[in-house]
Amino acid sequence: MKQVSKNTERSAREGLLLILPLAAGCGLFYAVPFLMVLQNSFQRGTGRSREYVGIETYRSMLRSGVFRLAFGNTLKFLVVALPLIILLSYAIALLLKNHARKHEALKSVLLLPYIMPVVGTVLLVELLFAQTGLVNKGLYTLGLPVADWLHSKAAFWVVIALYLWKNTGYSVILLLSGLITIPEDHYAAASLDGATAWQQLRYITMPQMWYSVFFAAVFSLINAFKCFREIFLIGGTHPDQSIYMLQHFINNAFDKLNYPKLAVASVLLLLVLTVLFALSYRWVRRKEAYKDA
Amino acid sequence: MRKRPAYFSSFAAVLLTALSVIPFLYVFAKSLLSAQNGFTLSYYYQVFLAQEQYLLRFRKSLGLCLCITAGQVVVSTLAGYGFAKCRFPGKNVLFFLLMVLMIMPLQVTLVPNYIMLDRLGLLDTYYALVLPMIFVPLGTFIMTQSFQAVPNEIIEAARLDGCGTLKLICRIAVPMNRAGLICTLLLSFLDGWNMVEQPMVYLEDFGRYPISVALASVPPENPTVQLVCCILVALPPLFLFAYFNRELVEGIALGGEKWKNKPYVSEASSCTF
Repeated sequence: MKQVSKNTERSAREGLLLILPLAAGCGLFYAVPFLMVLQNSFQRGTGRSREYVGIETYRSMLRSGVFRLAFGNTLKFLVVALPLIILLSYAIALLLKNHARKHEALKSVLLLPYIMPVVGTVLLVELLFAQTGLVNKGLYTLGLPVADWLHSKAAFWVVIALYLWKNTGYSVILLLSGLITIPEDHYAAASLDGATAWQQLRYITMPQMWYSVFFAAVFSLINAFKCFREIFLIGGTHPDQSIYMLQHFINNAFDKLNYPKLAVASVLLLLVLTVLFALSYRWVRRKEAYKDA
Repeated sequence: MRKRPAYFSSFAAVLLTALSVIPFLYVFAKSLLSAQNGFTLSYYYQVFLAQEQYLLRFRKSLGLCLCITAGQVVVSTLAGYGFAKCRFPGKNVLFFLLMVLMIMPLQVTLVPNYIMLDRLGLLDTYYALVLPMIFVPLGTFIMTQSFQAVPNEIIEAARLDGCGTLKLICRIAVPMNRAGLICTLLLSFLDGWNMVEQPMVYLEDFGRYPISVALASVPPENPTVQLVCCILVALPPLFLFAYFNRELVEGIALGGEKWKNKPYVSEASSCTF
């Protein structure tokens, strides 16, 4: 008995030591300064003239049109892009599942867009969608009306397409790894009982995929935020209204060194993301609870 | 499930391959064309041989990325092993916090980072780019997932033979986890290589800008030169990818592996080796 408790103690000490570098780094660069940001968000002015203003900045930010535009656009992007990428990659994963071995190489190929450097993607978008770009040339040759893709409402959809092109491969791999862990005999048994393909998808595949879908969604979310740097580079500091994201807002506030504004934007985004993540995490854990029994 | 006809999925496979590869080829083809649409290598000559500025920036960026990658790999290997194989109070909470931090976009962390770097007097130095990137939590997440697949029996056996923890990590856990490690390495390299916001915010001196953002924010006079530079920038990731694509796919897949309620208790029973 004594041996066991000694081992546990040792394991605990070692565990803490091992995560110490990470914890120290995260504390130094993320946790501690974040508390300062939080403090900043309730203040106004800098240095000596700093004063406590409570939630005044929050109030004025929530009323500010530019902030609402940026926040709204960011949410709109996520609400459109995330379901699209999950559906698309789910479909591709299902399609590839039965021929997984044959399509082994395809998984790597699908990741190719993911590793294309930011400059490359930005150039590509410009080559394709600029006013004299390939798409407009093609439309012109076909006698169809051309459009200014990057400086109109269409920019939003160009950006969505870019996001899908770049990141679908990543979530296909996540979903595929979930699909192949579902035991084959579940399907065999269902087939014997005369279940249709749709029923099998609905009652065998989907209930066992929540974790995979959850993680695919989480990584797609991370990748979506990374995609904003391409959006930023394509549109510059003041792009078309439809793609004016929080990214632009924060960057422009940085240029004006408006700390309280920046702080409030960060805090609000953090709050929204944490709450959403915690809720969906809890939900998916419940859904999957039967597996731990 | 009823097998779909193979030609349908083959057709889809061809289509997907085309969609993924053709843009690369298009950019490459464009980089070989002069303004008059004739084939030319003179721009390649200009970027790779005649002018030093591009290669110089390229080398500097490469150095930066190597520092980030090395730091990230060490930090996340240690922490990943800690999370996957040790038991300590508050672990679940810490791991949850780690995941929350993981989904935080740069838009949230940029300001805190800036404040701290300012306090430490590191703004406008290369440290500002490297240090915060080392502690990005994604690597730890991937390493934790992949270390969980190492059977406890093996670890116990090594312990009985008197193997210390560090040695155990280096000699047993990491070699059994090539895919996780290489995936961490690749993803953190990509992340560093594609830095855009950090240099623009933390650095004043344009001379220090890494090649990725320098190219994107101030394009060279000639668009084709920019395309050639883009090929140059794409080379390291492509090279790594060509070499390690199998490990990358495997490592990413681990991120979606079923994360058991208390993996550190039950993994021994669920492991097949």
